[in-house]
Amino acid sequence: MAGADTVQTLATRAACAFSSYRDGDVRAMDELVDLLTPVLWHTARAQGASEAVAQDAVQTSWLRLVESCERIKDPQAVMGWLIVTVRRETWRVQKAHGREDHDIDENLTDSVPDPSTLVLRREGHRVLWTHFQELPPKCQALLRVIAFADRPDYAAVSEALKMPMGSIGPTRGRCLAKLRTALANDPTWEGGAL
Amino acid sequence: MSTDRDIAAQPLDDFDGILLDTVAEVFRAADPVPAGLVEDVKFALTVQALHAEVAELQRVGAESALARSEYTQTQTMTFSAEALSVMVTLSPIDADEVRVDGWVTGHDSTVRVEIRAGTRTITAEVDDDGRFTVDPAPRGLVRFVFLPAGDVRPVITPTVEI
Repeated sequence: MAGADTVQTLATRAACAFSSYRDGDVRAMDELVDLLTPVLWHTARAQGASEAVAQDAVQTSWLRLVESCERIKDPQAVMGWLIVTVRRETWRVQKAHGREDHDIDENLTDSVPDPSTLVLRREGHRVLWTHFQELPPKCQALLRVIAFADRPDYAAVSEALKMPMGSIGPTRGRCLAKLRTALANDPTWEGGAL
Repeated sequence: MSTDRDIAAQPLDDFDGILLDTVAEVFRAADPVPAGLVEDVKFALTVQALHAEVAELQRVGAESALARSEYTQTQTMTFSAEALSVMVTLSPIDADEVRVDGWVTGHDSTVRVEIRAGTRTITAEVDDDGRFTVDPAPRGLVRFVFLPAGDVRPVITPTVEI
């Protein structure tokens, strides 16, 4: 099912569960929900959704998946399909609340954690976090969602987020490059101190 | 010195993986998936799959708080839906198991009840008087699903602790 890619990535495991579900194993849907809810949560939150909007968008997207089940030809696409749907649902709910923008915009800081509330275990984490927050908001959003997937899935996730400018995989892409450059130029950054 | 553009065009390496793992770790701690979201999603999907009506939890017996901690007292809970009402009595067996006695009223032809605990489902038949018993049932978070005969929608309860 994964073709040449034998690595069990998140998208591949999701594809297996989705196939089993379509073949009549109802419980496989629970497995799919367990697998993908974290990446979907962060997809909604990375767009600046409040917790309530994000919960609503994630839940609605799962219901849409069951309704649209037969229209998803390739099971491997199910993760991307859900990310796209969460993004649209988030936008729809936000629009209903008076927001007009569709894409991840430049003013979305309300769902980004306040570092003072974070327990950053190591100095390296703190330095990384500082530079992460200085990235353009779109890069923060992309890296936040990508971080919950596996490397072979990055390109599909970038595409699902409609962010070709930051497209990651197989090359590093602009957003990760910015983060690495910022770290390399920071004298307090001690290489791989993570 | 390499420009951003050069660095961007290089293939991903293990250090990119470490950076992203750390980003995920920070977000997992700072903005976790809300407790209950995954269960809410599964519940919504079950309701959708069954075309079920969701019952309201009307009442939990007053002694329940104590019973939860001591496993000694019986506890009752009542659910109501458009099609039917149910009273459930829980009699503790031990720390892991409980006897469930139920009484379905309002719909004469409910034929089957399911107790859904995670991926496990226990089924019981409802008798002519509307009564059913599951003995023993595992303690924990469960939902009851009532499957009436004929054209009536199934009824599912919210998650309750037994």
